[in-house]
Amino acid sequence: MKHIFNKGKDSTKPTLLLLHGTGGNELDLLPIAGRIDDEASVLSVRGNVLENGMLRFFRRLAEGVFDEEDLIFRTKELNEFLDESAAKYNFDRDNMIAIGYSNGANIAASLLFHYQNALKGAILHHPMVPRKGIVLPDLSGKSVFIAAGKNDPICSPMESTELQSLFEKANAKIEVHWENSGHQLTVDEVEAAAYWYRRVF
Amino acid sequence: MQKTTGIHHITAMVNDAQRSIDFYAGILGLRLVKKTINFDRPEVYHLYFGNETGQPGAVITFFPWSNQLKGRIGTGQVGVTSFIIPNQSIKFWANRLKKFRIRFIQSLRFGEKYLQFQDPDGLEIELVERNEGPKNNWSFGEVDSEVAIKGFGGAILISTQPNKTADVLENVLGLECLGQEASFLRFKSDGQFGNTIDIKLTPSVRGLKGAGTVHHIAWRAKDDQDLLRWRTLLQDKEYYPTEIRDRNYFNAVYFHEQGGILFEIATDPPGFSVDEAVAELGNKLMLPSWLEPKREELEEALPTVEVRVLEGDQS
Repeated sequence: MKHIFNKGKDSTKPTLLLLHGTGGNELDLLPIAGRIDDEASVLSVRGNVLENGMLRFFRRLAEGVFDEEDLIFRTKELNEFLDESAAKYNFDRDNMIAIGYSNGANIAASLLFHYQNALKGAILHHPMVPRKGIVLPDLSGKSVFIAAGKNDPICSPMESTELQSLFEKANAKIEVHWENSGHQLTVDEVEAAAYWYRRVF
Repeated sequence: MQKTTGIHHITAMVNDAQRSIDFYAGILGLRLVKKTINFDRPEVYHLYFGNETGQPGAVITFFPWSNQLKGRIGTGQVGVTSFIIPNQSIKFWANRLKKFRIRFIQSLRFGEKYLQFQDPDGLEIELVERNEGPKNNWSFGEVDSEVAIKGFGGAILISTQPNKTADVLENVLGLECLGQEASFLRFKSDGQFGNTIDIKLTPSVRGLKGAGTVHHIAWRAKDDQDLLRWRTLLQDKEYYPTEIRDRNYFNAVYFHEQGGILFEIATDPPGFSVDEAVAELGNKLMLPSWLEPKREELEEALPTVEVRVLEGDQS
């Protein structure tokens, strides 16, 4: 997978996995990684799927209608890529925090839904419930920050609340930050995520 | 105040293209007015069915995708799609449904008699007799234009927050509230069809998107300028609409109303004759210009489908 790896100053810090939104690329979230932890290593991945000329992490049919088969396949692909990258760049595979926006947040959530040890934690900006009706692995010891918009036209507040409760049932520690805005990634929610990160990690 | 004249189109998810064609064209007698592809998933059709010319307010569209999981009709969705049939034709339709072994019930809502049934994927459909709207000049099988579906009557919305959905209909879209009867709140717009929207007030299960459910309902905007005004209004009221998207046959913005239903506002022009003559509508697979170079490959990947007169329906 196309990606950027920037080695951080402090190798004891978590490695930040950056996952962009639909139509973005691996450069998008680099400034955000800096705001969360400017001493951590960063692995920023480019989505492998092209939709209408826009990069994504998995395929869909319409807004909110995911291709489950492709989602499962792409989630596995990404998880394996993380294993390979840890070996290649020599970072601690068990100390990885995903930062994802929209489609990137969805695949990050999907990593947590499908693999018990894919991530130590995640900062999810405007995620949806990636899959319905499956049993999540035990996520004890994992921490997830969700930033949601009360007026998000893509992802309804109900969806965010449902994701929160699914993670909680799987024993993950969850914090939800609500913005009054829509689907955009706001400075306020990034700052709230940074504050959360400093408290938790 | 800005007002929509009613429904522009309704888009639903199904599993099989030919099965949907047989149902909506073969049995209901609608015209396949456009055969194109899902721009985001070119190996999936996007089929549009309507009256003869595919007027706004008469068009139901489908994404037939066999991989799609079954959905569940419930809150956050359009629960029922209603079509108008001419006065005195309800008996014809009841007989026709019987002939094709489609189970239906008759029900009464706001003094109107409805025939309610499901399509092969489980979408809830109903027919209601009304005088409004021009006759549909399309005829197919035994469905001649004296009995042909004219367009949408309206829809039943199943909301997570019926009061909030009522508020959008009244104070954003400009529909008039006609009042409550039993467990429905009725709204009306000025259009000739697609103008009667009922909100279900009794509790429902939570909806799940998937095959056999409506993906979104679109409301009419007169033109691009009107659409821009709608978008500004939605922004002012903090509904956070998407940017304007080019859908080839109309331009559109999308937003979730607070009851969870995906709403779209779509322009009447340019319409379905933008790339095909009215007489030829739906005959050929239409592709956006940027996918035209891949036509052969796409035609190969898509299942072969046809509009066909069903057995026992020769006229």
